[in-house]
Amino acid sequence: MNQPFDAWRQDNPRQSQGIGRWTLAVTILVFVLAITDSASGNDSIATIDFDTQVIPVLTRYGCNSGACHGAAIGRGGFKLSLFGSRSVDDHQEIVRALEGRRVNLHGTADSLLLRKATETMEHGGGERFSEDSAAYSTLSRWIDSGAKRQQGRRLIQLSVMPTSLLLDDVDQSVPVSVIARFDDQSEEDVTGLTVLSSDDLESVAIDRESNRLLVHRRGEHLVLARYLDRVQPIRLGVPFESTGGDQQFSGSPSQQDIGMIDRLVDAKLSQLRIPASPRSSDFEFARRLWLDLAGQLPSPEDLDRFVKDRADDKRVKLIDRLLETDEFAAYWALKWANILAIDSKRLQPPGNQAYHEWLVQQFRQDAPWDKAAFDMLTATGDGFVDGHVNFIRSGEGPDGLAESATRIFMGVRLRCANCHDHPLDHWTQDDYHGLAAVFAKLKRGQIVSPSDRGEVTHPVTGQPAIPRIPGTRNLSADDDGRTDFAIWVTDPSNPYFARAAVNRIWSQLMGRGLIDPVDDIRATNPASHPELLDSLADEFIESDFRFRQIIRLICNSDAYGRASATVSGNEHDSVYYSHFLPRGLEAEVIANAIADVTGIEIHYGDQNASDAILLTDNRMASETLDVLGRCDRAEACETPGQNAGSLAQVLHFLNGGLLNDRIEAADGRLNTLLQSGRDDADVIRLIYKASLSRLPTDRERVFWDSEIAKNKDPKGDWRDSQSRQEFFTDVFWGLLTSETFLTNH
Amino acid sequence: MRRKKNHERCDGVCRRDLLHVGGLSAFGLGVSDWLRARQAIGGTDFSSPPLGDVKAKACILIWLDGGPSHLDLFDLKPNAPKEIRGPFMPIATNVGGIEVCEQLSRTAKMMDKVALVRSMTSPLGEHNFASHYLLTGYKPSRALTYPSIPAVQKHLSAERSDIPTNVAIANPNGMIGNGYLPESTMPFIVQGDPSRPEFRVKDLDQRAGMTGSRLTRRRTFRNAIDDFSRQTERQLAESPTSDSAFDQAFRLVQSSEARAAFDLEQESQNDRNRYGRHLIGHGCLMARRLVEAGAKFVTVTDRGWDTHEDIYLRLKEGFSGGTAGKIPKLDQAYSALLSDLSDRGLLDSTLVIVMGEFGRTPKFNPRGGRDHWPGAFSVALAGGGVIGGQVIGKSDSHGERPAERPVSPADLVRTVYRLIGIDGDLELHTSDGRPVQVNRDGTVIDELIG
Repeated sequence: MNQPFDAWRQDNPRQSQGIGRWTLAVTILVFVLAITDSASGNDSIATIDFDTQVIPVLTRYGCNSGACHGAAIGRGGFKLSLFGSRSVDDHQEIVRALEGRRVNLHGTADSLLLRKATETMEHGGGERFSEDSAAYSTLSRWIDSGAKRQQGRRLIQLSVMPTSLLLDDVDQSVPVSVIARFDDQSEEDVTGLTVLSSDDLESVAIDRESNRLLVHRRGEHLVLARYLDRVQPIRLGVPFESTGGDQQFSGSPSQQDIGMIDRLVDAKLSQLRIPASPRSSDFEFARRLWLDLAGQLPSPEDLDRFVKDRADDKRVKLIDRLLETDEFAAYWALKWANILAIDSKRLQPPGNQAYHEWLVQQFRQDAPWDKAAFDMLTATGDGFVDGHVNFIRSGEGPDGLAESATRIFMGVRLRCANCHDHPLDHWTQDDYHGLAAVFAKLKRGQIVSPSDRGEVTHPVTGQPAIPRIPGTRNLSADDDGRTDFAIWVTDPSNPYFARAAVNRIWSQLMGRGLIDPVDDIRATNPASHPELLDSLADEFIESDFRFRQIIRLICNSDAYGRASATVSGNEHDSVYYSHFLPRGLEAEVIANAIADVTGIEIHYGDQNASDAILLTDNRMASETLDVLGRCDRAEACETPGQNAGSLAQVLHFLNGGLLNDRIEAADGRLNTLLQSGRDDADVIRLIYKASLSRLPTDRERVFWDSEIAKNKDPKGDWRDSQSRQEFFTDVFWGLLTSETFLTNH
Repeated sequence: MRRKKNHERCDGVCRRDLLHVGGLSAFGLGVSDWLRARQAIGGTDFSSPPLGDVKAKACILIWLDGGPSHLDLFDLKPNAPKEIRGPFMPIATNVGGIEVCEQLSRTAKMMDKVALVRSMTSPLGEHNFASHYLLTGYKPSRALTYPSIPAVQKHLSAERSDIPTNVAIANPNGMIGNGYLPESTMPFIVQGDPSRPEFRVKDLDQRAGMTGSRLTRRRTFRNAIDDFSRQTERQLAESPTSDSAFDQAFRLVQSSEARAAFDLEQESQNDRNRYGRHLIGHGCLMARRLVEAGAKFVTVTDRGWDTHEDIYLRLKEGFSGGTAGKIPKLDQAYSALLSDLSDRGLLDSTLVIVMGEFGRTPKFNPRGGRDHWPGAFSVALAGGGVIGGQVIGKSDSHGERPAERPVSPADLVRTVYRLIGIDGDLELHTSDGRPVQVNRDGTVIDELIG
């Protein structure tokens, strides 16, 4: 039997609370409108309602899609708003434009609207529906009754069933039912008017005749149901086939002290029957954690100490210890400098440095993120003195600030709503230009200060845009819009702020956002583990919006602590955290690791600086960092190390000085070891430990023994010291250019 | 005045992220799957399958990133209202009845080699979605990232030449990635602007004192370390038997001939001036050298075509007081490439494509620009078996929609596959063994092919 997929069905308390508030506001508005409207005698539903019955027909049959009449300039002279977002305009266009020929009140069947749609006259879009269809009947009844738009009712709730379902096998069909509830208490089955779209038609096909979803493939799939301006995801899951044997769906041997993260991650794995990889070795964990929290490899001494420690809670302790280090603050500031795109070209070096140092300070003090966000959004003052002011200086004009404020603090891509209402979300052009207007009245030189002037033109109206909190309410010109927005966005009830923050933290540590990409939070891109995201957000709010508590929780989870190696059955998983996801590293981290492991510093700029993570000026010339793929911050970088493997990098490793000079240096780690009188196997062991943070395996020892033997003379001696040195130089080079060295895994 | 930098697109999405997204599916690729995929194609080299006469041995894609204005390049509408037609006038070409923009005066003299498709149409008007469609032939799906044409070509070729076979000059569009195929099918990226005096592909020359046998030893050691590590940990690249970027680089540095292909200093000043001292010009020049040396697919990426503002300044002069904007540079580079390939007898075996992700809105916006418009746009193809001197399809009077013979990106991509000798019906496999056709929704544009 199919069963509801419980983890998926969890309602999301804060979201419903947040949205509930909006809905309440909308409802009040509608109520007021309804009162003013009732004087004109509104017998709502006896007639066909334009907004809730005609427009859905146009949407259902693709008439107002971006490819047809919903395009920005319409099509064939007939222009509708995208997915019916502006019903007033659409009514005008249908009833009044073209001298009213689109509807014929005296002969409904002669209306162009019907003749084109049924292709009884030439129509570029072909036949959309037939004369005996329900759609035809709806439109003709509407025209019969006068083709009016009376705003009879408003949609207040859409119930899509199922919201999520776990099937026990493939090739099953799932009926969909969509019920709309309106503010006049009416309810209607709108399944036939709902647009269903499958992410992947080969996995889930849609039978429009019967409104059923046909599930063909195992795994988790998403179907979107759109009615009017609401889009709701339907999740369908089919467990993978059991690989037999005793599969382990959890990293934790005991279910008693299992934390919230593992409870939710493991539940999903067990529902989808994806086995979990075992716990990572101490070597693997130490390297992973040092890289993630301190941006550096553990020194061989630190590694030894950790591995030899017999305490049960040594991982917990190491996490706590690293979180307190200056290296942690510096490294996480670098990560966030990339996310914020702190760029000295735009800010000038003094502003850039002030911003970066402020950021380091935030991490050092584990400062509350809501406070930091509030300060950034409402900042005034001298950017060369007060670091956070540079958030305002970073944006390219009011538009750029609206985009970066929503991207950074809400994880939302508002940009799409610049030119048209967002097709996959509820953001409108009013939201976009309204938020831009909030940031318009500012002087933004070295000093940021309020200005009397500055407005944003709404591209549709051609008038100054009304300042607005996106998706929420307009602000009056007298309001301090920035403060209003900052209060709204940092409020614990805001459905985006905390989620965007914890999702980014999760992504940095786990290799993939619960919502991915992390800057694309919307209803149509739901989280892989919705309840987990909510719980982390709750935890973040309860811990006063401080990062360290969330980092600590994640790093202490079994999901984080799993081996990166896969087991039979989870090789293909890159979404459910059944094994640790390997990932690239920031250029600055690799540069420091090369310096640490070879024992030869890399110098930057005026030669005083040798720690790449501490560099504040991102434009400081450095061939090393360029070749290792640093973020240029002309745009934000949400994930590190995307330039790995480029031609320039590979060639530089082969022929350039960065590695070669350091490996060969007389006072470097390798030559010091070779001069120390240690035997060959010991040298191999020590350079493995320094670079890969582990010891060679038995098989590796056999391999290196045989390679060494091959390169010695028949008596078993090195021909000369040079041939020994060259051999180990090549081994060390192989270690430092290996995938395993260049990634965190 | 808010103005985006020239190279940037209006959505400003981080290109690194795109590459990352493109590579995600490859996380799951295990060796066995890769081998299975290879077996599925019988281990044969599919550069010459039974597709009839395949002339193209190589392809050069000139990608105009951001979306070039069809109405200002290849499909002018001089009779349309002023708010649509723009200031450029059409000029005659060396083929009667075919006109192009007056800014393309050099290209006009070789239209007998070029086939224009003026009835391209797609529903996707967002940069990444549209780029994905044009470069892979598939509309994007949340479920699966598809491989780009050069990645499929690389995947199906058993060739292990000294020259990298899939090369991108200047940072390419993120959608030109490997999709669900192994990461090793990603292009070799030549970063920087090859026209800059200080440009060279750095570190191409072997380090003093380094011998070939030691390089081979280094390669063996590095691969051994990763192979051993794979037994205990997961790594980003999970296809050790495929032709990794590292292996390609090793072969490259050990071949002086292959290295020379990247060295533009070996071209005469005359030729360098002919192609033009700018990124697209020198990019095309390097592309020609690479193709000559055996590269199979070279993508030259020219950014800055996302002309939401001041379109005529951008297209004609580049900036206030400038002398050459986007179109004159393209004209110089493209015409030099076509005539050079032709003079060297390489045009018949080299397919040259000029395209971007979509066209631009017929009507100007208030900022003197044109916005995204996928409803109708143009693509230019030449060489490699394409019948030149013809126009395929037609857009309506305002350049809004195709008036005849609509061509989808899937059709175009299938045609490109056909031209370079890859059967669109061939099945590839994703990491979890799902069969996926090279091209699903397209039909070959027959009249394009001789």
